[in-house]
Amino acid sequence: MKKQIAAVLTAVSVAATLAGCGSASTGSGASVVTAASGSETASTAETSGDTVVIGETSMVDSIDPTNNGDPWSLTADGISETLYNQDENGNLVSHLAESVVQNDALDWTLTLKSGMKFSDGSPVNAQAVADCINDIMANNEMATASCGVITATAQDDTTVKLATERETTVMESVLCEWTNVIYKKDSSGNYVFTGPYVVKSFNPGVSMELTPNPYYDDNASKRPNVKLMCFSDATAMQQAFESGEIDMAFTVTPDAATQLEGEGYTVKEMNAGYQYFAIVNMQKESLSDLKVREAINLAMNRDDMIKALKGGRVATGFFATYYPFAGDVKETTDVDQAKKDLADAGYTDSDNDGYLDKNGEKLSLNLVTYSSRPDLTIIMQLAADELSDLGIDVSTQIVDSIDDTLSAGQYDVAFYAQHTAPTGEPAYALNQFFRTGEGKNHNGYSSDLVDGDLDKMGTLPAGDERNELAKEIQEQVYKDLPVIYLVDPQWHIAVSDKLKDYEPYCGDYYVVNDQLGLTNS
Amino acid sequence: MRRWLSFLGRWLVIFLVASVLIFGLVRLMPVSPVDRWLSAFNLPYTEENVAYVTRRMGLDRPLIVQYADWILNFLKGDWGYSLKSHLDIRQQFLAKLPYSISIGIAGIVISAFAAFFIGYRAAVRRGGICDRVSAALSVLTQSVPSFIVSIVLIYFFGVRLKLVRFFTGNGAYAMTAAILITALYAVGPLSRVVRKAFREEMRSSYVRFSVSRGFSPDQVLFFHASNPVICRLISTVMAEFATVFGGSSVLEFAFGIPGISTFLVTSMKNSDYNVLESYILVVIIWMFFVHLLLNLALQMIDVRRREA
Repeated sequence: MKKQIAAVLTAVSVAATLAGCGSASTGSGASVVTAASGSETASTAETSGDTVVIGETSMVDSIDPTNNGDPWSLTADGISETLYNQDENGNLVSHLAESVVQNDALDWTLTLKSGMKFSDGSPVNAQAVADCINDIMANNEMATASCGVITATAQDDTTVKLATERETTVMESVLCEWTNVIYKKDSSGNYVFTGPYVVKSFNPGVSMELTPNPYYDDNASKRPNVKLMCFSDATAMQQAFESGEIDMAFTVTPDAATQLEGEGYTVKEMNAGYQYFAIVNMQKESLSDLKVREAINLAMNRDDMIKALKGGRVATGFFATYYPFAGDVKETTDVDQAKKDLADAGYTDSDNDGYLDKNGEKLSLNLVTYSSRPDLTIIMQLAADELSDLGIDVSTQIVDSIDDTLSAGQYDVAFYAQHTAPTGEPAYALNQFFRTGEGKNHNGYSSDLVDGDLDKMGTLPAGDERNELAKEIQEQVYKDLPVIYLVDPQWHIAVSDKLKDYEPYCGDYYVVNDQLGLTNS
Repeated sequence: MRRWLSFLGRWLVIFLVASVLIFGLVRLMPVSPVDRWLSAFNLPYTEENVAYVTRRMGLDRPLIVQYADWILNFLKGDWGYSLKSHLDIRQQFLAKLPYSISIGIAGIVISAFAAFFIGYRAAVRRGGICDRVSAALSVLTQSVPSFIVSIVLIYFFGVRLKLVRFFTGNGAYAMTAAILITALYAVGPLSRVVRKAFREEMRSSYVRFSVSRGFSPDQVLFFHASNPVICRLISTVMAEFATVFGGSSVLEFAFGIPGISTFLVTSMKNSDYNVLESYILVVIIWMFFVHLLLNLALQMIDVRRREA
């Protein structure tokens, strides 16, 4: 009997616990969610009239600028700033710095604008900036990739001396790298930043409420509040937009863009800054032949790709066309010439099986891409059709980790996307992809001309001469074809009337910029 | 007492064996969290970068050290940090669990109650409305994915009629919709189980005897034959509880609910070893309590079990 009573009591207590969850949720899902999540201020707040709600497919994990990739997201969401940022034309500008001048190979002088403030009203002076830079260098090894550890020392209230371990000629770009945001801790131990917005409430992975930073500039009072919401599913985000619950869906797929436009919603195209290109595995025997690579390049119908993506431009090189160092390459489609090139390379359909072959071996290509950039899947499929028409035996594959696949050489042609100038300068990406033996040069490409030009670029400051060298390298790559330039894409965002004048730029690097909500007010 | 000790011992063995298995299995994932991290930030796949991120994630230590460290800390309540976000896993679980648990438990409880009555009516009135409804719901479960129902629901009430704010309201609508859809999808199969159990009881001698004495078959079934049916229902529902974690991922995605299921799917995408390992152990602990509770309930209801 005692056992039964104990059993009943146990059952009742556990049932009561479970019922607590269940009944609360059936009665009011919100109440249980709010109580249990602990930090649900954002989700319980109704959107006010002057609040702009933005849907994104990912969200910052924490407000800690030294945590993983969070500084990147904090800047994209308008909370933090790097010392130099890109404007919509790809130029480097600074809200905080007057100038940064090279004194000698490893020594720079950074001059700050006077009167600038953190979001708590404290001054952005030389000491605060020096402390911040030294803290980043101590806590994020990724920040040391370009010129080693930077040691910052305050000289006076607005002057900071920067000493680098390795030489650089483009300190503005180094200070624009995503790791290098300006921050400090306030008296409560919370991080404060210098961006146009301040975090009001934050529910990790769910939502974040922002209010204008009153110390950012004179327009602070004109800026709306912002609520960022994370959607794990793009369809859910689209439905939230259609139901009027969010003012901007960042971003929508080409198909969704067409559908939304058809329904009368405003869909904008924005320069992605990212470039879509194909990496050719030159270590494979057939692809080591320049004629074969030229045939593949000529077979690519970039206009069809742009049509399928519902936006973008034919690539003119390795950078978005608005950069001063963008290439001047003219890509064309010529299927007949492509067929002739393959014939010149010795490929014919000798056994009449519909596929080209040489020395008894079929010309086969394995096209590879990855799922996190859905546009690339579309491009790859079009490319597969075009290459099949040439008589090439084509297979396609979507992999989880493209970099892993590339470094293992398990591909013939890989379709890839990258923002090639996130810091407004070309040398970093050109070095990574085209310098002999560098990190993203997975196909064994080596060119004395390219290596020499990259060496020269390393000694020049930003400017025309450097830009010309970048163009020359892109031209040489166009001739050698280790990489086939495809599309300079434009992405789509859906916006409500509140944001019909808003123009984001540079892909997902500045989703919430200081013009949000100002242009139509 | 011995039976309960054996029950406890069995679950302890399951816990320890599963912890070793899951620790090994997640490391067989084709893409490592290091690769994911480097790809996410467009960083070159150089030896230096790989070594740095591997070190930062603590994956450079011998596997046995990693395992011992993880399991001992887990038992002490420290579930470690997410490899992707570097946030405390336990805190993240506690923040997200209420969403999934509410959807799962409320959905199952509602469906079990509804299934009992629908199944009962289906058994006593073969070919009647309840019989047809339960059959139709079973077919619906197998033929229409729940995300379609979710999308249609959002489209009509949110997009077309603009009656409900599923995404930016206080979460009540999204949670209610997710619970009702969960219940809808469980009620069909469960009601067929109940119907079958009642039909079997109808053929038993004690029911036929009571009916032959003039009692109404409906009343005999409901008041005297329901215990074995409830036992069958509880046994079936027991398995459903395993889906409380992870099973609601489609609905969480569709309604933008930040539950543990969404977190699990995202962690899989990121190959976040630490989160996946903790997740499996939490599911095992959860199922231990479900089995404990429902076995107690069965023992109270089913006399034969009690005597055994």
